[in-house]
Amino acid sequence: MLIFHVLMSLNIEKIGKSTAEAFSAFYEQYLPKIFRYISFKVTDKFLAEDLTSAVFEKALTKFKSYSSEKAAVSTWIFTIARNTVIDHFRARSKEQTVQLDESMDVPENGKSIEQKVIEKEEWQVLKQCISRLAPNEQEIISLKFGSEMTNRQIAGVLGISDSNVGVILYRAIRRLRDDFGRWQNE
Amino acid sequence: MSKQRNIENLFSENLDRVLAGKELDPSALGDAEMRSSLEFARRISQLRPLPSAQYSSRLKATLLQKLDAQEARTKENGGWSWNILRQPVWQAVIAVFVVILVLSLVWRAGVFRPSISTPSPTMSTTATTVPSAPSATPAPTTAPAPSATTAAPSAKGVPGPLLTVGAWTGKSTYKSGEKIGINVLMENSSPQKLTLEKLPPILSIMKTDTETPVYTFAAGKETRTLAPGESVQFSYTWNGLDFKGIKVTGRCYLELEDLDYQGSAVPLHLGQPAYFDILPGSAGNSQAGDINYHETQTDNNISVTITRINISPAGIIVEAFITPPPDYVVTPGSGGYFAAKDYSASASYSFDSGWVKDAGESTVTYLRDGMEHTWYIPDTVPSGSKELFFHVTSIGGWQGSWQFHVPLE
Repeated sequence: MLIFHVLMSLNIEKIGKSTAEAFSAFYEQYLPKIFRYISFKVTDKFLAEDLTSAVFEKALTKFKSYSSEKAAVSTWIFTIARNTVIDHFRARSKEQTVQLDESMDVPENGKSIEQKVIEKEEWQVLKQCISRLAPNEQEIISLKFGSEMTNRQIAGVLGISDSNVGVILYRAIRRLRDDFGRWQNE
Repeated sequence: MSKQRNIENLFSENLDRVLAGKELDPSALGDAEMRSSLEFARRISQLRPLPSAQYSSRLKATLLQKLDAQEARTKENGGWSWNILRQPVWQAVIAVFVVILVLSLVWRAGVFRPSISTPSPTMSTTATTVPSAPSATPAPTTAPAPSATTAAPSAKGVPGPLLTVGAWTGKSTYKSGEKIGINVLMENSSPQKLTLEKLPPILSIMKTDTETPVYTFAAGKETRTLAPGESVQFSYTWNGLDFKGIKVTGRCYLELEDLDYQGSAVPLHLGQPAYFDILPGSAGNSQAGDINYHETQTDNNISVTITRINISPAGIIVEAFITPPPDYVVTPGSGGYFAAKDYSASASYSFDSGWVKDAGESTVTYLRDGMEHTWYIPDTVPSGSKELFFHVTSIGGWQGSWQFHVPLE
Protein backbone atom coordinates (compact mmCIF):
# COMPACT_ATOMS: atom_id res chain seq x y z
CA MET A 1 0.00 0.00 0.00
CA LEU A 2 2.92 2.33 0.78
CA ILE A 3 4.38 1.61 -2.64
CA PHE A 4 1.01 2.21 -4.20
CA HIS A 5 0.62 5.57 -2.53
CA VAL A 6 4.19 6.59 -3.44
CA LEU A 7 3.55 5.68 -7.08
CA MET A 8 0.31 7.59 -6.93
CA SER A 9 2.11 10.74 -5.89
CA LEU A 10 4.64 10.42 -8.77
CA ASN A 11 2.13 10.52 -11.56
CA ILE A 12 -1.30 10.97 -10.24
CA GLU A 13 -2.88 12.12 -13.49
CA LYS A 14 -1.95 8.95 -15.31
CA ILE A 15 -2.87 6.82 -12.32
CA GLY A 16 -6.11 8.79 -12.01
CA LYS A 17 -7.10 7.83 -15.55
CA SER A 18 -6.05 4.25 -14.91
CA THR A 19 -8.21 4.06 -11.80
CA ALA A 20 -11.26 5.16 -13.74
CA GLU A 21 -10.43 2.72 -16.52
CA ALA A 22 -9.81 -0.05 -14.04
CA PHE A 23 -13.07 0.65 -12.27
CA SER A 24 -14.95 0.81 -15.56
CA ALA A 25 -13.57 -2.56 -16.60
CA PHE A 26 -14.42 -3.97 -13.17
CA TYR A 27 -17.93 -2.52 -13.41
CA GLU A 28 -18.57 -3.93 -16.90
CA GLN A 29 -17.40 -7.36 -15.81
CA TYR A 30 -19.30 -7.61 -12.55
CA LEU A 31 -22.49 -5.59 -13.06
CA PRO A 32 -24.41 -8.39 -14.82
CA LYS A 33 -23.22 -10.95 -12.28
CA ILE A 34 -24.06 -8.86 -9.23
CA PHE A 35 -27.45 -7.92 -10.69
CA ARG A 36 -28.27 -11.53 -11.48
CA TYR A 37 -27.14 -12.72 -8.07
CA ILE A 38 -29.38 -10.16 -6.35
CA SER A 39 -32.23 -11.02 -8.73
CA PHE A 40 -32.21 -14.52 -7.33
CA LYS A 41 -32.61 -13.09 -3.84
CA VAL A 42 -35.36 -10.51 -4.39
CA THR A 43 -38.44 -10.45 -6.59
CA ASP A 44 -38.73 -6.72 -7.25
CA LYS A 45 -36.75 -5.37 -10.22
CA PHE A 46 -36.35 -1.88 -8.80
CA LEU A 47 -35.17 -3.29 -5.49
CA ALA A 48 -32.58 -5.38 -7.35
CA GLU A 49 -31.38 -2.24 -9.13
CA ASP A 50 -31.19 -0.30 -5.84
CA LEU A 51 -29.25 -3.04 -4.11
CA THR A 52 -26.92 -3.44 -7.09
CA SER A 53 -26.23 0.29 -7.01
CA ALA A 54 -25.53 0.09 -3.27
CA VAL A 55 -23.05 -2.74 -3.85
CA PHE A 56 -21.09 -0.80 -6.44
CA GLU A 57 -21.08 2.39 -4.38
CA LYS A 58 -19.58 0.44 -1.49
CA ALA A 59 -17.10 -1.16 -3.87
CA LEU A 60 -16.17 2.28 -5.18
CA THR A 61 -15.27 3.63 -1.74
CA LYS A 62 -13.12 0.54 -1.07
CA PHE A 63 -11.73 0.14 -4.58
CA LYS A 64 -8.38 1.75 -3.98
CA SER A 65 -7.81 -0.03 -0.69
CA TYR A 66 -8.71 -3.45 -2.09
CA SER A 67 -5.83 -5.90 -1.80
CA SER A 68 -5.68 -9.12 -3.77
CA GLU A 69 -3.66 -10.63 -0.92
CA LYS A 70 -6.76 -10.70 1.25
CA ALA A 71 -9.23 -12.09 -1.24
CA ALA A 72 -9.83 -12.59 -4.94
CA VAL A 73 -11.84 -9.84 -6.62
CA SER A 74 -14.88 -12.09 -7.05
CA THR A 75 -14.80 -13.10 -3.39
CA TRP A 76 -14.44 -9.46 -2.35
CA ILE A 77 -17.30 -8.06 -4.42
CA PHE A 78 -19.66 -10.92 -3.69
CA THR A 79 -19.02 -10.64 0.02
CA ILE A 80 -20.09 -7.01 -0.28
CA ALA A 81 -23.15 -8.12 -2.27
CA ARG A 82 -24.15 -10.79 0.24
CA ASN A 83 -23.79 -8.42 3.17
CA THR A 84 -25.79 -5.75 1.34
CA VAL A 85 -28.67 -8.16 0.75
CA ILE A 86 -28.56 -9.43 4.33
CA ASP A 87 -28.52 -5.89 5.69
CA HIS A 88 -31.48 -5.01 3.51
CA PHE A 89 -33.63 -7.87 4.82
CA ARG A 90 -32.71 -7.06 8.40
CA ALA A 91 -33.37 -3.36 8.04
CA ARG A 92 -36.73 -3.75 6.33
CA SER A 93 -39.14 -2.51 8.98
CA LYS A 94 -42.70 -2.87 7.72
CA GLU A 95 -44.41 -5.30 5.38
CA GLN A 96 -43.89 -4.85 1.69
CA THR A 97 -46.35 -6.76 -0.38
CA VAL A 98 -44.68 -8.40 -3.30
CA GLN A 99 -45.91 -6.70 -6.46
CA LEU A 100 -45.92 -9.43 -9.01
CA ASP A 101 -46.27 -6.96 -11.87
CA GLU A 102 -42.93 -5.41 -10.89
CA SER A 103 -41.15 -8.73 -11.06
CA MET A 104 -37.99 -9.28 -13.01
CA ASP A 105 -37.92 -8.98 -16.78
CA VAL A 106 -36.33 -11.96 -18.44
CA PRO A 107 -33.90 -11.21 -21.30
CA GLU A 108 -35.60 -10.09 -24.50
CA ASN A 109 -33.36 -11.49 -27.26
CA GLY A 110 -35.95 -10.88 -29.96
CA LYS A 111 -38.64 -13.10 -28.49
CA SER A 112 -42.36 -12.98 -29.19
CA ILE A 113 -44.73 -11.49 -26.63
CA GLU A 114 -46.19 -14.90 -25.90
CA GLN A 115 -42.75 -16.32 -25.28
CA LYS A 116 -41.87 -13.45 -22.98
CA VAL A 117 -45.05 -13.98 -20.96
CA ILE A 118 -44.33 -17.70 -20.62
CA GLU A 119 -40.75 -17.09 -19.57
CA LYS A 120 -41.83 -14.44 -17.08
CA GLU A 121 -44.21 -16.93 -15.49
CA GLU A 122 -41.53 -19.61 -15.49
CA TRP A 123 -39.12 -17.24 -13.79
CA GLN A 124 -41.66 -16.46 -11.06
CA VAL A 125 -42.32 -20.16 -10.50
CA LEU A 126 -38.61 -20.88 -10.48
CA LYS A 127 -38.16 -18.24 -7.76
CA GLN A 128 -40.92 -19.91 -5.72
CA CYS A 129 -39.20 -23.27 -6.10
CA ILE A 130 -35.89 -21.75 -5.05
CA SER A 131 -37.54 -20.25 -1.97
CA ARG A 132 -38.44 -23.78 -0.88
CA LEU A 133 -34.81 -24.87 -0.83
CA ALA A 134 -32.72 -24.76 2.31
CA PRO A 135 -30.95 -21.40 2.84
CA ASN A 136 -27.52 -22.79 2.02
CA GLU A 137 -28.89 -24.33 -1.20
CA GLN A 138 -30.51 -21.02 -2.16
CA GLU A 139 -27.28 -19.18 -1.58
CA ILE A 140 -25.25 -21.58 -3.69
CA ILE A 141 -27.80 -21.52 -6.51
CA SER A 142 -27.81 -17.70 -6.43
CA LEU A 143 -24.02 -17.52 -6.51
CA LYS A 144 -23.69 -20.16 -9.22
CA PHE A 145 -26.29 -18.87 -11.63
CA GLY A 146 -26.00 -15.22 -10.66
CA SER A 147 -22.26 -14.79 -10.57
CA GLU A 148 -21.17 -17.83 -12.62
CA MET A 149 -18.50 -18.50 -10.02
CA THR A 150 -16.66 -21.78 -9.91
CA ASN A 151 -17.29 -24.09 -6.98
CA ARG A 152 -13.96 -23.09 -5.50
CA GLN A 153 -14.82 -19.40 -5.63
CA ILE A 154 -18.23 -20.06 -4.06
CA ALA A 155 -16.54 -22.08 -1.34
CA GLY A 156 -14.26 -19.11 -0.68
CA VAL A 157 -17.21 -16.75 -0.28
CA LEU A 158 -19.20 -19.10 1.96
CA GLY A 159 -16.30 -20.51 3.94
CA ILE A 160 -17.00 -24.15 3.13
CA SER A 161 -15.13 -26.78 1.12
CA ASP A 162 -15.55 -26.86 -2.64
CA SER A 163 -16.53 -30.52 -2.49
CA ASN A 164 -19.42 -29.51 -0.22
CA VAL A 165 -20.45 -26.92 -2.80
CA GLY A 166 -20.52 -29.60 -5.50
CA VAL A 167 -22.62 -31.95 -3.38
CA ILE A 168 -25.12 -29.30 -2.37
CA LEU A 169 -25.33 -27.87 -5.88
CA TYR A 170 -26.09 -31.17 -7.57
CA ARG A 171 -28.74 -32.09 -5.03
CA ALA A 172 -30.32 -28.63 -5.13
CA ILE A 173 -30.57 -28.66 -8.93
CA ARG A 174 -32.25 -32.03 -8.90
CA ARG A 175 -34.74 -30.91 -6.28
CA LEU A 176 -35.47 -27.75 -8.24
CA ARG A 177 -35.89 -29.75 -11.42
CA ASP A 178 -38.37 -32.11 -9.75
CA ASP A 179 -40.30 -29.28 -8.05
CA PHE A 180 -40.43 -27.24 -11.25
CA GLY A 181 -41.44 -30.33 -13.20
CA ARG A 182 -44.41 -30.91 -10.87
CA TRP A 183 -45.68 -27.39 -11.64
CA GLN A 184 -45.25 -27.95 -15.38
CA ASN A 185 -47.20 -31.19 -15.23
CA GLU A 186 -50.18 -29.64 -13.38
CA MET B 1 -13.10 -40.95 -4.75
CA SER B 2 -16.56 -42.51 -4.78
CA LYS B 3 -18.64 -42.79 -7.90
CA GLN B 4 -21.11 -40.30 -6.46
CA ARG B 5 -18.33 -37.79 -5.92
CA ASN B 6 -17.23 -38.29 -9.53
CA ILE B 7 -20.80 -37.66 -10.68
CA GLU B 8 -20.98 -34.45 -8.68
CA ASN B 9 -17.64 -33.24 -10.04
CA LEU B 10 -18.66 -34.09 -13.60
CA PHE B 11 -21.94 -32.26 -13.11
CA SER B 12 -20.16 -29.15 -11.83
CA GLU B 13 -17.74 -29.16 -14.76
CA ASN B 14 -20.56 -29.49 -17.26
CA LEU B 15 -22.63 -26.86 -15.48
CA ASP B 16 -19.75 -24.40 -15.75
CA ARG B 17 -19.68 -25.10 -19.49
CA VAL B 18 -23.42 -24.49 -19.75
CA LEU B 19 -23.10 -21.15 -17.96
CA ALA B 20 -20.22 -20.17 -20.21
CA GLY B 21 -22.44 -20.86 -23.22
CA LYS B 22 -20.25 -23.71 -24.42
CA GLU B 23 -21.49 -26.88 -26.03
CA LEU B 24 -21.43 -30.08 -24.03
CA ASP B 25 -19.68 -33.24 -25.12
CA PRO B 26 -22.51 -35.80 -25.30
CA SER B 27 -20.17 -38.67 -24.48
CA ALA B 28 -19.12 -36.99 -21.22
CA LEU B 29 -22.61 -36.30 -19.90
CA GLY B 30 -23.02 -39.34 -17.72
CA ASP B 31 -26.44 -40.86 -17.17
CA ALA B 32 -29.96 -39.64 -17.96
CA GLU B 33 -30.26 -38.11 -14.49
CA MET B 34 -27.31 -35.82 -15.12
CA ARG B 35 -28.44 -34.93 -18.64
CA SER B 36 -31.88 -33.86 -17.43
CA SER B 37 -30.32 -31.87 -14.58
CA LEU B 38 -28.02 -30.08 -17.02
CA GLU B 39 -30.90 -29.33 -19.37
CA PHE B 40 -32.80 -27.84 -16.46
CA ALA B 41 -29.74 -25.82 -15.48
CA ARG B 42 -29.55 -24.51 -19.06
CA ARG B 43 -33.18 -23.44 -18.74
CA ILE B 44 -32.42 -21.56 -15.51
CA SER B 45 -29.53 -19.77 -17.22
CA GLN B 46 -31.85 -18.71 -20.07
CA LEU B 47 -34.36 -17.24 -17.63
CA ARG B 48 -31.83 -15.15 -15.71
CA PRO B 49 -32.56 -11.44 -15.92
CA LEU B 50 -30.08 -8.83 -17.12
CA PRO B 51 -29.86 -5.20 -16.06
CA SER B 52 -31.37 -2.83 -18.60
CA ALA B 53 -28.99 -0.82 -20.77
CA GLN B 54 -30.48 2.43 -19.44
CA TYR B 55 -29.87 1.42 -15.82
CA SER B 56 -26.34 0.19 -16.57
CA SER B 57 -25.20 3.37 -18.28
CA ARG B 58 -26.91 5.63 -15.73
CA LEU B 59 -25.26 3.83 -12.81
CA LYS B 60 -21.86 3.81 -14.52
CA ALA B 61 -22.03 7.55 -15.14
CA THR B 62 -22.97 8.19 -11.51
CA LEU B 63 -20.16 6.03 -10.19
CA LEU B 64 -17.51 7.56 -12.43
CA GLN B 65 -18.63 11.04 -11.36
CA LYS B 66 -18.19 10.01 -7.73
CA LEU B 67 -14.79 8.55 -8.55
CA ASP B 68 -13.76 11.84 -10.17
CA ALA B 69 -14.91 13.72 -7.09
CA GLN B 70 -12.91 11.35 -4.90
CA GLU B 71 -9.81 11.83 -7.03
CA ALA B 72 -10.22 15.61 -6.95
CA ARG B 73 -10.48 15.57 -3.15
CA THR B 74 -7.35 13.44 -2.91
CA LYS B 75 -5.48 15.86 -5.18
CA GLU B 76 -6.62 18.84 -3.12
CA ASN B 77 -5.61 17.27 0.15
CA GLY B 78 -2.14 16.64 -1.31
CA GLY B 79 -1.62 20.49 -1.11
CA TRP B 80 1.91 21.84 -0.97
CA SER B 81 3.47 18.39 -0.69
CA TRP B 82 1.92 17.46 -4.03
CA ASN B 83 3.44 20.49 -5.73
CA ILE B 84 6.87 19.72 -4.33
CA LEU B 85 6.69 16.07 -5.38
CA ARG B 86 6.02 17.06 -9.00
CA GLN B 87 9.58 18.40 -9.21
CA PRO B 88 11.96 16.04 -11.05
CA VAL B 89 14.56 16.01 -8.25
CA TRP B 90 12.11 14.74 -5.72
CA GLN B 91 10.71 12.24 -8.20
CA ALA B 92 14.19 10.81 -8.69
CA VAL B 93 14.75 10.56 -4.92
CA ILE B 94 11.46 8.80 -4.43
CA ALA B 95 12.15 6.41 -7.31
CA VAL B 96 15.48 5.36 -5.75
CA PHE B 97 13.78 4.91 -2.40
CA VAL B 98 11.11 2.72 -3.97
CA VAL B 99 13.68 0.49 -5.67
CA ILE B 100 15.59 0.01 -2.40
CA LEU B 101 12.36 -0.77 -0.57
CA VAL B 102 11.27 -3.34 -3.15
CA LEU B 103 14.64 -5.09 -3.10
CA SER B 104 14.64 -5.32 0.69
CA LEU B 105 11.12 -6.76 0.72
CA VAL B 106 12.07 -9.32 -1.92
CA TRP B 107 15.17 -10.29 0.08
CA ARG B 108 13.13 -10.70 3.27
CA ALA B 109 10.59 -12.84 1.43
CA GLY B 110 13.44 -15.27 0.85
CA VAL B 111 13.19 -15.34 -2.94
CA PHE B 112 16.94 -15.93 -3.20
CA ARG B 113 17.07 -18.57 -0.49
CA PRO B 114 16.76 -22.31 -1.20
CA SER B 115 13.11 -23.36 -1.33
CA ILE B 116 11.57 -25.81 1.10
CA SER B 117 9.90 -28.72 -0.67
CA THR B 118 6.24 -29.19 0.15
CA PRO B 119 4.97 -32.67 0.88
CA SER B 120 2.85 -34.39 -1.72
CA PRO B 121 -0.33 -36.15 -0.69
CA THR B 122 0.07 -39.81 0.11
CA MET B 123 -2.53 -42.41 0.62
CA SER B 124 -2.00 -45.96 1.72
CA THR B 125 -4.72 -48.50 2.13
CA THR B 126 -5.08 -51.24 4.64
CA ALA B 127 -7.77 -53.80 4.92
CA THR B 128 -10.95 -52.71 6.65
CA THR B 129 -11.82 -54.85 9.61
CA VAL B 130 -15.42 -55.12 10.72
CA PRO B 131 -15.42 -56.79 14.10
CA SER B 132 -18.14 -59.40 14.38
CA ALA B 133 -19.35 -58.86 17.93
CA PRO B 134 -21.93 -61.31 19.25
CA SER B 135 -24.29 -58.52 20.46
CA ALA B 136 -26.17 -55.94 18.39
CA THR B 137 -24.29 -52.99 19.89
CA PRO B 138 -20.66 -52.31 19.05
CA ALA B 139 -17.94 -52.60 21.70
CA PRO B 140 -16.91 -49.00 22.30
CA THR B 141 -13.55 -49.76 23.87
CA THR B 142 -12.04 -51.81 21.07
CA ALA B 143 -10.31 -50.04 18.25
CA PRO B 144 -9.96 -51.97 15.01
CA ALA B 145 -7.15 -51.47 12.55
CA PRO B 146 -7.63 -48.16 10.75
CA SER B 147 -8.93 -48.64 7.27
CA ALA B 148 -7.11 -45.74 5.55
CA THR B 149 -4.52 -43.07 5.99
CA THR B 150 -5.45 -39.60 4.82
CA ALA B 151 -3.15 -36.74 3.91
CA ALA B 152 -3.81 -33.00 3.95
CA PRO B 153 -2.10 -31.71 0.78
CA SER B 154 -2.36 -28.05 1.62
CA ALA B 155 -2.18 -27.89 5.40
CA LYS B 156 0.33 -25.23 6.23
CA GLY B 157 3.58 -26.36 7.86
CA VAL B 158 2.38 -29.85 8.84
CA PRO B 159 3.99 -32.40 6.54
CA GLY B 160 2.73 -35.95 6.20
CA PRO B 161 -0.73 -37.39 6.83
CA LEU B 162 -2.94 -35.67 9.39
CA LEU B 163 -5.52 -38.21 10.33
CA THR B 164 -5.90 -41.94 10.37
CA VAL B 165 -9.54 -42.83 9.99
CA GLY B 166 -11.46 -46.01 10.55
CA ALA B 167 -15.17 -46.80 10.42
CA TRP B 168 -17.06 -49.98 11.19
CA THR B 169 -20.44 -51.30 12.15
CA GLY B 170 -21.16 -53.54 15.10
CA LYS B 171 -22.10 -56.46 12.87
CA SER B 172 -21.74 -57.35 9.25
CA THR B 173 -25.38 -58.40 8.82
CA TYR B 174 -28.58 -56.83 10.11
CA LYS B 175 -32.29 -57.36 9.75
CA SER B 176 -34.40 -54.71 8.07
CA GLY B 177 -35.46 -52.06 10.60
CA GLU B 178 -32.81 -53.11 13.12
CA LYS B 179 -30.79 -50.31 14.67
CA ILE B 180 -27.29 -50.20 13.30
CA GLY B 181 -24.48 -48.94 15.48
CA ILE B 182 -21.66 -47.25 13.57
CA ASN B 183 -18.33 -46.14 14.93
CA VAL B 184 -15.81 -43.77 13.46
CA LEU B 185 -12.32 -43.47 14.86
CA MET B 186 -10.05 -40.54 14.03
CA GLU B 187 -6.45 -40.53 15.17
CA ASN B 188 -4.06 -37.60 14.94
CA SER B 189 -1.19 -38.99 12.88
CA SER B 190 0.64 -35.69 12.65
CA PRO B 191 3.42 -34.43 14.90
CA GLN B 192 1.35 -31.41 15.97
CA LYS B 193 -1.89 -31.02 17.85
CA LEU B 194 -4.91 -30.63 15.64
CA THR B 195 -8.07 -28.71 16.43
CA LEU B 196 -10.92 -30.20 14.45
CA GLU B 197 -14.30 -28.55 14.07
CA LYS B 198 -17.78 -29.69 13.13
CA LEU B 199 -17.48 -33.06 14.74
CA PRO B 200 -18.73 -35.77 14.42
CA PRO B 201 -18.00 -35.64 10.67
CA ILE B 202 -20.65 -36.06 7.99
CA LEU B 203 -21.28 -39.77 7.48
CA SER B 204 -23.25 -41.27 4.62
CA ILE B 205 -24.73 -44.73 4.29
CA MET B 206 -24.20 -45.73 0.65
CA LYS B 207 -25.90 -48.44 -1.35
CA THR B 208 -23.45 -50.56 -3.31
CA ASP B 209 -25.79 -51.16 -6.25
CA THR B 210 -26.47 -47.45 -6.92
CA GLU B 211 -23.41 -45.94 -5.16
CA THR B 212 -25.67 -43.19 -3.87
CA PRO B 213 -26.35 -42.21 -0.27
CA VAL B 214 -29.54 -43.52 1.28
CA TYR B 215 -28.98 -41.63 4.48
CA THR B 216 -26.59 -38.97 5.73
CA PHE B 217 -25.75 -37.93 9.26
CA ALA B 218 -25.16 -34.19 9.31
CA ALA B 219 -21.98 -32.83 10.84
CA GLY B 220 -21.98 -32.11 14.55
CA LYS B 221 -21.09 -28.84 16.19
CA GLU B 222 -18.31 -30.05 18.48
CA THR B 223 -14.70 -28.95 18.37
CA ARG B 224 -11.96 -31.25 19.59
CA THR B 225 -8.23 -30.77 19.95
CA LEU B 226 -6.18 -33.93 19.50
CA ALA B 227 -2.60 -34.23 20.66
CA PRO B 228 -0.22 -36.21 18.40
CA GLY B 229 -1.26 -39.84 18.58
CA GLU B 230 -4.51 -39.05 20.37
CA SER B 231 -7.70 -40.46 18.93
CA VAL B 232 -11.39 -39.78 19.26
CA GLN B 233 -14.27 -42.09 18.53
CA PHE B 234 -17.80 -41.21 17.51
CA SER B 235 -20.86 -43.39 17.59
CA TYR B 236 -23.81 -43.11 15.29
CA THR B 237 -27.05 -45.03 15.50
CA TRP B 238 -28.87 -45.52 12.23
CA ASN B 239 -32.45 -46.79 12.32
CA GLY B 240 -32.16 -48.43 8.92
CA LEU B 241 -34.46 -45.91 7.20
CA ASP B 242 -33.58 -43.79 4.18
CA PHE B 243 -34.20 -40.05 3.67
CA LYS B 244 -37.88 -40.74 3.03
CA GLY B 245 -38.38 -43.01 6.03
CA ILE B 246 -38.41 -46.23 4.00
CA LYS B 247 -36.55 -49.30 5.29
CA VAL B 248 -33.33 -50.02 3.47
CA THR B 249 -32.24 -53.52 2.48
CA GLY B 250 -29.26 -54.82 0.60
CA ARG B 251 -25.55 -54.23 0.74
CA CYS B 252 -24.37 -50.89 2.08
CA TYR B 253 -21.12 -49.22 2.93
CA LEU B 254 -19.96 -46.19 4.87
CA GLU B 255 -18.54 -42.99 3.44
CA LEU B 256 -17.21 -39.92 5.24
CA GLU B 257 -17.35 -36.36 3.93
CA ASP B 258 -14.25 -34.19 3.81
CA LEU B 259 -13.35 -32.38 7.01
CA ASP B 260 -12.38 -28.70 6.97
CA TYR B 261 -9.01 -27.97 8.51
CA GLN B 262 -7.48 -24.50 8.36
CA GLY B 263 -9.34 -23.74 5.16
CA SER B 264 -8.32 -26.97 3.45
CA ALA B 265 -10.48 -29.98 2.79
CA VAL B 266 -9.09 -33.06 4.51
CA PRO B 267 -10.50 -36.12 2.76
CA LEU B 268 -11.55 -38.87 5.14
CA HIS B 269 -11.16 -41.72 2.68
CA LEU B 270 -11.68 -45.24 3.89
CA GLY B 271 -9.21 -47.25 1.82
CA GLN B 272 -11.57 -50.18 1.60
CA PRO B 273 -15.25 -49.46 2.22
CA ALA B 274 -16.82 -50.86 5.39
CA TYR B 275 -19.58 -53.09 3.99
CA PHE B 276 -22.57 -54.48 5.80
CA ASP B 277 -25.74 -56.21 4.70
CA ILE B 278 -29.36 -55.56 5.65
CA LEU B 279 -31.60 -58.55 5.10
CA PRO B 280 -35.33 -58.33 4.45
CA GLY B 281 -37.54 -59.17 7.43
CA SER B 282 -38.26 -57.04 10.44
CA ALA B 283 -36.70 -56.34 13.78
CA GLY B 284 -38.68 -55.53 16.93
CA ASN B 285 -40.02 -52.05 17.56
CA SER B 286 -38.66 -49.78 20.23
CA GLN B 287 -40.63 -47.29 22.29
CA ALA B 288 -43.05 -45.03 20.46
CA GLY B 289 -45.61 -42.33 21.19
CA ASP B 290 -46.16 -38.66 21.88
CA ILE B 291 -44.45 -36.90 24.76
CA ASN B 292 -46.64 -34.56 26.74
CA TYR B 293 -44.59 -31.36 26.47
CA HIS B 294 -45.66 -27.79 25.73
CA GLU B 295 -43.20 -25.01 26.41
CA THR B 296 -42.59 -21.56 24.99
CA GLN B 297 -39.27 -19.75 24.73
CA THR B 298 -38.83 -16.19 23.50
CA ASP B 299 -35.71 -14.59 22.14
CA ASN B 300 -35.11 -11.70 19.76
CA ASN B 301 -38.86 -10.95 20.01
CA ILE B 302 -39.68 -14.31 18.41
CA SER B 303 -41.52 -16.97 20.41
CA VAL B 304 -41.16 -20.68 19.77
CA THR B 305 -43.77 -23.01 21.28
CA ILE B 306 -43.18 -26.74 21.12
CA THR B 307 -46.58 -28.25 20.34
CA ARG B 308 -45.75 -31.91 19.78
CA ILE B 309 -42.90 -34.36 20.16
CA ASN B 310 -43.34 -37.84 18.78
CA ILE B 311 -40.89 -40.68 19.19
CA SER B 312 -41.05 -43.82 17.07
CA PRO B 313 -38.72 -46.36 15.47
CA ALA B 314 -38.78 -44.14 12.39
CA GLY B 315 -37.32 -41.24 14.34
CA ILE B 316 -38.28 -38.15 16.27
CA ILE B 317 -40.76 -35.53 15.11
CA VAL B 318 -40.72 -32.11 16.73
CA GLU B 319 -43.47 -29.65 15.90
CA ALA B 320 -43.52 -26.03 16.94
CA PHE B 321 -45.47 -22.86 16.36
CA ILE B 322 -43.28 -19.79 15.79
CA THR B 323 -44.46 -16.19 15.88
CA PRO B 324 -43.62 -13.94 12.91
CA PRO B 325 -40.12 -12.41 12.79
CA PRO B 326 -39.96 -8.65 12.11
CA ASP B 327 -39.51 -9.10 8.35
CA TYR B 328 -42.29 -11.67 7.99
CA VAL B 329 -44.25 -11.13 4.77
CA VAL B 330 -46.79 -13.60 3.41
CA THR B 331 -49.26 -13.44 0.58
CA PRO B 332 -52.31 -15.64 0.28
CA GLY B 333 -52.45 -18.05 -2.59
CA SER B 334 -54.19 -21.23 -3.62
CA GLY B 335 -53.52 -23.82 -0.95
CA GLY B 336 -52.29 -21.43 1.74
CA TYR B 337 -49.86 -18.60 2.29
CA PHE B 338 -46.55 -17.99 0.56
CA ALA B 339 -43.65 -16.21 2.17
CA ALA B 340 -41.38 -13.69 0.50
CA LYS B 341 -38.36 -15.60 1.76
CA ASP B 342 -37.52 -18.89 3.40
CA TYR B 343 -38.12 -19.00 7.16
CA SER B 344 -36.86 -22.51 7.81
CA ALA B 345 -35.48 -22.88 11.31
CA SER B 346 -32.22 -24.59 12.24
CA ALA B 347 -31.91 -26.67 15.37
CA SER B 348 -29.62 -29.08 17.17
CA TYR B 349 -30.33 -31.77 19.74
CA SER B 350 -28.68 -34.11 22.18
CA PHE B 351 -29.60 -36.78 24.71
CA ASP B 352 -28.53 -36.45 28.36
CA SER B 353 -25.86 -33.83 27.55
CA GLY B 354 -24.20 -36.15 25.07
CA TRP B 355 -22.92 -35.31 21.58
CA VAL B 356 -24.75 -32.38 20.03
CA LYS B 357 -26.21 -33.34 16.65
CA ASP B 358 -27.71 -31.29 13.90
CA ALA B 359 -31.51 -31.61 13.68
CA GLY B 360 -31.40 -29.95 10.28
CA GLU B 361 -33.84 -27.40 9.02
CA SER B 362 -37.55 -27.47 9.55
CA THR B 363 -40.28 -27.73 6.96
CA VAL B 364 -42.63 -24.77 7.24
CA THR B 365 -46.33 -24.13 6.81
CA TYR B 366 -46.96 -20.40 6.61
CA LEU B 367 -49.99 -18.88 8.29
CA ARG B 368 -51.18 -15.33 8.47
CA ASP B 369 -50.10 -14.88 12.09
CA GLY B 370 -47.16 -17.26 12.36
CA MET B 371 -45.63 -20.49 11.15
CA GLU B 372 -45.87 -24.18 11.89
CA HIS B 373 -42.48 -25.83 11.83
CA THR B 374 -41.69 -29.54 11.78
CA TRP B 375 -38.33 -31.22 12.24
CA TYR B 376 -38.01 -34.84 11.14
CA ILE B 377 -35.03 -36.32 12.95
CA PRO B 378 -34.26 -39.83 11.71
CA ASP B 379 -32.58 -40.85 14.92
CA THR B 380 -33.65 -43.09 17.76
CA VAL B 381 -33.59 -42.33 21.45
CA PRO B 382 -30.78 -44.24 23.15
CA SER B 383 -32.20 -46.59 25.74
CA GLY B 384 -32.10 -45.20 29.24
CA SER B 385 -32.03 -41.57 28.08
CA LYS B 386 -33.72 -39.21 30.50
CA GLU B 387 -33.76 -35.95 28.59
CA LEU B 388 -33.85 -34.61 25.05
CA PHE B 389 -32.25 -31.19 24.69
CA PHE B 390 -33.67 -29.41 21.64
CA HIS B 391 -32.12 -26.10 20.66
CA VAL B 392 -33.45 -23.84 17.92
CA THR B 393 -30.63 -21.57 16.76
CA SER B 394 -32.03 -19.55 13.89
CA ILE B 395 -35.33 -18.80 12.19
CA GLY B 396 -35.24 -17.48 8.65
CA GLY B 397 -31.83 -15.93 9.22
CA TRP B 398 -32.82 -14.43 12.60
CA GLN B 399 -30.32 -15.70 15.15
CA GLY B 400 -31.39 -16.59 18.64
CA SER B 401 -31.38 -19.29 21.27
CA TRP B 402 -34.59 -21.17 22.04
CA GLN B 403 -33.76 -24.07 24.33
CA PHE B 404 -36.02 -26.87 25.46
CA HIS B 405 -35.21 -29.59 27.99
CA VAL B 406 -37.68 -32.36 27.29
CA PRO B 407 -37.98 -35.09 29.91
CA LEU B 408 -38.22 -38.53 28.35
CA GLU B 409 -40.54 -40.97 30.06
